[in-house]
Amino acid sequence: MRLSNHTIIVADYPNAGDSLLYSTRTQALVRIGSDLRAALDVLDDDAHELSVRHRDEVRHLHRMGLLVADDQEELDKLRAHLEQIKYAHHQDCFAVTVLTTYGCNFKCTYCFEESSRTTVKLDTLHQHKVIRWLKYKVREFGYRNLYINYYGGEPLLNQPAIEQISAEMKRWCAAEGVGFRMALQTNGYLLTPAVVEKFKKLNLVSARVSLDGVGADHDRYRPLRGGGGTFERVMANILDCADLLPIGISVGYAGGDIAPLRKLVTYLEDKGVLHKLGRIIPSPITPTLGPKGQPEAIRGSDCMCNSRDGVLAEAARQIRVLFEEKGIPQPRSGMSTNVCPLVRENGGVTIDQEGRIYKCNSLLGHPEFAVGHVDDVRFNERGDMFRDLDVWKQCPVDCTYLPMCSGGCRLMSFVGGNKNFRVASCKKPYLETMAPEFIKQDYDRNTADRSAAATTL
Amino acid sequence: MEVIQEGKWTIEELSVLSCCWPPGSQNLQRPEPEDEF
Repeated sequence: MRLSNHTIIVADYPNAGDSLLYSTRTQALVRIGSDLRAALDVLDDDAHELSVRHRDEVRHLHRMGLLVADDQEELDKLRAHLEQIKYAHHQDCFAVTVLTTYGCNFKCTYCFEESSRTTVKLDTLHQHKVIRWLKYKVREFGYRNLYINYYGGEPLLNQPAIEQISAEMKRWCAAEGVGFRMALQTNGYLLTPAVVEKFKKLNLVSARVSLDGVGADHDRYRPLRGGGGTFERVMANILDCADLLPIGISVGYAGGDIAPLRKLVTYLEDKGVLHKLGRIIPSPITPTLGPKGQPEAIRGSDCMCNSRDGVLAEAARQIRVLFEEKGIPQPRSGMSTNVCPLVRENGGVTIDQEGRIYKCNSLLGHPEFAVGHVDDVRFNERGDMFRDLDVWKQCPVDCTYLPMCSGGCRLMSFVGGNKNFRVASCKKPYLETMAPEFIKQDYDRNTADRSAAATTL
Repeated sequence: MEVIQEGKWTIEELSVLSCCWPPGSQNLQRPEPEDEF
């Protein structure tokens, strides 16, 4: 018996002599004292007094995956975990993104779809095909809920498609005993109270708007297609709609500089809307594939500097401090199992306006990377190729973070210099810096939640 | 020993983030329903 390679020990927390143990495979989290910690060093000595005294706890740690019997058990459990990520599907919800159009009234400087921009919209024929495909998949896998996220281009440039698909799926799901919800991922320019009220009748539950700062900070990255700023109108719409719907905000930042994010959060606070919003999700701006037909001609390669380990770690810390200061709910644990959708057999998918199916939004506009079409019930050979990349096999099996990373983001392998999807993209230095902090935060949050629950009782 | 969180074994039990880079960052390119609330 020994500690699993996938167990992280955070020493002297919450108190001196205490240790937190966390499994990156099973997400088990325990606090142990110095006595049990010392027993973990003599696990194979059955006669040792510490080993005898802590026998039941050691068995419990083994059941939680924090300890393993031997190397073979470690490898077997790791393989089972990674196979599950690859093939299993979450039956609770089928999350599908539907593009109503590639057309957009904005011309964002970093848009990954710009070279694929067309005015072709999701027409009636393809709406019916999407509906037919969704019904088939929901029945085939027995999903309990269907969640459609409308995306683009700008999805609100083709509102009839949203109405047609959502009205039919709402009716059909009700008849089948399946939950149905929809969301909008929009630039916010056309998101008026009338639009929100119309779509709430079709089970609209949230919208997500991108803001890259206040005023000129935002307009610099997200101008109108014909020129001119967009911030004032988008913000007016958010203020008008904030009482009607949770509106999440996505915020891009460059070079680890979160000053525009801070300014935006303060602005939203001053406007009295900050605590009415949905989740705020800041993300570093990343490179994108090249133009249509030339994906290897990566654009924005200099943006890779935004993903340097030190830059990311410092930005993550500053964002956490900012959120605490402003009373913004912190995101759920950073120690989640992270799954690249490209390598999952049956994860969420994105359907473009011509019925092509993609597993990674950042590959939209490059038909050679589509994994299927709504005319077919099975994915194509490209889908099989992505699923079987198994880049984790390039990683050392004793890497602490392998179960939660499984070889990393396939897109980052492509745009980060490899120009193919086949190389693992390792962020171990980032995780080694951040994981202890995330684990401490999880511990603090969990104990605070339990304390609050006990007070309520 | 204080158990804060028991081990999880299935995809339905595990806390999973799809399309998040780098792992642990919460940089979600495609938020799913459970990420929105």
